[in-house]
Amino acid sequence: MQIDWWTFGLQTINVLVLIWLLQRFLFRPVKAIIDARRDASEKLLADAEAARNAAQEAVAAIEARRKDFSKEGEAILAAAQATALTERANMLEQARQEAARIETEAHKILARERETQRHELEAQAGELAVVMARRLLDLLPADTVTAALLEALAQDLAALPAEARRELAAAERPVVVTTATALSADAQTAWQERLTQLLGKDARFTFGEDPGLIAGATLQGPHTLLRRNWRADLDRLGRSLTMPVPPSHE
Amino acid sequence: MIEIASIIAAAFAVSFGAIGPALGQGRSVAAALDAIARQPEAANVISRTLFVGLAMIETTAIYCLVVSLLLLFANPFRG
Amino acid sequence: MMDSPLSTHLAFTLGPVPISTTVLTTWGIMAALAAAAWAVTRRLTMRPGTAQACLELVVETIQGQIHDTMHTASTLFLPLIGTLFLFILAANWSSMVPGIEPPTAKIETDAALALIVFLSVVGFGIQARGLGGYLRSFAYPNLFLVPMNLLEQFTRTFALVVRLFGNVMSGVFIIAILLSLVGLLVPVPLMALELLTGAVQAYIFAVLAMVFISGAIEEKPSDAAQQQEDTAS
Repeated sequence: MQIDWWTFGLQTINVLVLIWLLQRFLFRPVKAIIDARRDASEKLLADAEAARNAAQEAVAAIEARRKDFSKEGEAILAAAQATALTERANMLEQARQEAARIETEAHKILARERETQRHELEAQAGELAVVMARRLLDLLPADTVTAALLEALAQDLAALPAEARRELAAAERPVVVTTATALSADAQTAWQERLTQLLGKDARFTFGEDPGLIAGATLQGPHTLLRRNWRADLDRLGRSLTMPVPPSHE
Repeated sequence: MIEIASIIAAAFAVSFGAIGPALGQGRSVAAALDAIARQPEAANVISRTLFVGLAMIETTAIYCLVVSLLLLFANPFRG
Repeated sequence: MMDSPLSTHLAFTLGPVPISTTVLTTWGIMAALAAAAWAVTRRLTMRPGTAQACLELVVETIQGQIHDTMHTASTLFLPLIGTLFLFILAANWSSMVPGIEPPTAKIETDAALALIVFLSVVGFGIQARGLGGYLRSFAYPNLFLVPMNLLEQFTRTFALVVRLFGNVMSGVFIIAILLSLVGLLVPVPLMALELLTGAVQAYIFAVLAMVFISGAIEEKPSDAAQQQEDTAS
């Protein structure tokens, strides 16, 4: 067995040269490009990571702002609720006042109506009384009544102070004596004498008739008014009845 | 005479030298298949190790082949 | 009687240097590999085309194998291991070209490759552990095994040579015999088997080179244990 040492040496050199060639033309550039690509991809990944972080931060910021918004909204809501509450209370108060006012008004109106009703009733009662008085009077002779009442009038006149009587007598216009029923001429003269006796000669008299007096008479001077008739009595009675005003319902 | 003996020796070397490696390779392949069946995910590592092992076992057969070739073509006793 | 597979054939003489056909074929393979690599790597881009992608795949796979076998991320061994693999693969598959005898079918080429591996083992071992450290690694696990370890260095290198040589040469030899007997179509399955065998042998050669180198550079278990004791105390 022989070994070709030349071939052996040449092959060794050949393989060494090939190692250098492939290192030069294959492995180094390929490794370089692979490393470059890996670096690029890592850079890309890092960039993506950074971008993701930034996006997450933005999301967190938006979240925080949204929380602020909701807080603000809650505050606004609370304020609105508070104002609504006060408004409601105000409105309730107003409504209560209004209701109270309306109630008092209604009470007033009611009282007024009751008052007017009572007045009407009183007026009716007064008229009824007048009618009843007239009916009663019809049962009596008119002259007697008139005479009696004139007598009373005369007594009143007599009871007047002297000054008043002088004034009556000195009046420019004649003293008006009004009776419910017309006096007969005799009665007139009789009464004129009687009155003149009371007031003096200077006094002048005129006689009138007024059925509204029902019964009795009035004596009217410039400043004096003497009444002795049922009308006046009835009016006085009615006034005295209505005088104590009933307390209004509050 | 030496040539005849060399040829016979070479034939015996190759034939008997092939028996051992054949048995060994059969065993190792069977064991590797069993291992891959148990752990398919380790198939890569197992097959790589198997190839290396097979090559190692085969080396003994190759030694026999080389010896037979030496006897046939470079017999040192042929003078 | 056919030619001895152990002998080389003289192609021509370059001065005093006889150039065998094996060397000639090796030059051709070198030129083809370098030209192909140069043609592809001449314009590398970040977005690889088909050729660049294939090349990157090859380089990445080799680097991955180095990483898996040697447990190191270093690219220091990539040129040596990659070139061994690619050259042996190309040389084995060059038998498919008619009239070409693969250089690895000659024991001189295999011996040259194994010599380079041997020298690399020694070189990387000394580089990694220093001369003293590398020499001390032969005394593992104890001093009496120094002759055995030294012998192992040479026998495993010799086994590397003979394995590659025997496989490729036997394949070529058998195909040649079959061609001389039948000639047509019958050798085709054996040629396919030769393709597989060639690829596997290239792979095994590279893996064994990696194993030898990593065995030379990595810490022996005794060293690791020693270091652990040191750190523990």
